[in-house]
Amino acid sequence: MRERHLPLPDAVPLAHALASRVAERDGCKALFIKGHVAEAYELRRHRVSSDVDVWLSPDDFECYLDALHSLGWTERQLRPAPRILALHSTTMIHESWPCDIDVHRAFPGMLAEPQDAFDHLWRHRSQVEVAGTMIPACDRMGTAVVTALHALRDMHVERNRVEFDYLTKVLRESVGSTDSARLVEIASAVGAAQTLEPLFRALRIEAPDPPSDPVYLHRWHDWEWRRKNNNPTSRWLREAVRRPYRNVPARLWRAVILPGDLFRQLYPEVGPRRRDMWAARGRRIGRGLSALPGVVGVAWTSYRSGRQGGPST
Amino acid sequence: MSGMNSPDRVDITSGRWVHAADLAQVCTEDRSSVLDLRQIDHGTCPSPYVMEGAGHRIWTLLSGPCSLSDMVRAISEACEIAEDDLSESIAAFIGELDRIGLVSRVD
Repeated sequence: MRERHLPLPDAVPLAHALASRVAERDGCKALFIKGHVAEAYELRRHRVSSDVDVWLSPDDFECYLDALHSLGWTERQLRPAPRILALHSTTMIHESWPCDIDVHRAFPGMLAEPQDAFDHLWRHRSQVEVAGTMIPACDRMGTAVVTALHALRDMHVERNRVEFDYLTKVLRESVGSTDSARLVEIASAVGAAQTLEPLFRALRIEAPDPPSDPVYLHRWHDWEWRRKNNNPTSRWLREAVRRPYRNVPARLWRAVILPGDLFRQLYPEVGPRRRDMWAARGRRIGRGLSALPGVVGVAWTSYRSGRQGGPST
Repeated sequence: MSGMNSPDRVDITSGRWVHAADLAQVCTEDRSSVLDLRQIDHGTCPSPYVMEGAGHRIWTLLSGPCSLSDMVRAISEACEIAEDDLSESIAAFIGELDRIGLVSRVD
């Protein structure tokens, strides 16, 4: 019998089993999230996923990546573009597998310390069946929180709006007082009191009070900026306007006139001649200027919202 | 069932066969994809196997203990092929599954 082309709908559940076994073998704490887990809890309609999402205890993150490396998985190289939210995962690929394994060290929208957030969900973990094996996962309400935050981060994407609506519909029909209390408990523990506000509003559950410490507020501000402003202009502006402020002019200049090598990495499709590059630079600056008023407006709104400690929709 | 070899020294005809323990598998109507998780414990990334057609039918039969003669009879009826024409190739297929560790004998 020969090894044949592995179809994606089969590859993803098998890769869950593989990733789970690797974690178990090396004693790494891992929780599977999103896709198959959300479907197992009937919190998402079925659709073919393109990757495995596994959230590692931050303590075990590097050890787990090493374990995958030893089995021939390598990190997918990212383009060196700025980000608003810190990079929360590493994508691992393998030449024999048509799907990725996305290894998370944190989850966007959970504004508590990643270790604290993970530990809470780990203490309440459950198991779901995937590809005939049992894999560790968040409990049902933990999975609901993950599913909601994943959708809420990019609500301009129609699929996310549809999945959020589906999630809220299912929860409205199935959540009792115990589940409601659990949702509030999770939101408090993982720092999602504000980021989950649309879910609480949809379920008519009173959201817990958010923390008031500056680190939390800064993360909340980043979340709001990213949620409302996920475009290149916004990302470059966010990258430039940060402490130390004396370096802001230099960072702004760099953001506008990218160094040649970085420009080539970000825009590999641009032709080899200098005038190709300058023409592409001109188009990029034009796009940036046209997006700037909207970016500044939304950024100011979210900044004020963050200072006032409440979400703006 | 392409790529079948003749059965090795293992006597396929005696006893019954079943899926090995510690496999991950996804079975749909027309194919089965299988992964041997024990290979991870031995430090290698397991390669998934995909079975279609008669191979998939045999794999489905092997979800419970099944003798070679049971398999030959079932495939013969399903595919309307004489049992004598199937016996050797199915035995070779089981031998291959045994060699790569996807089935075990239940005596």
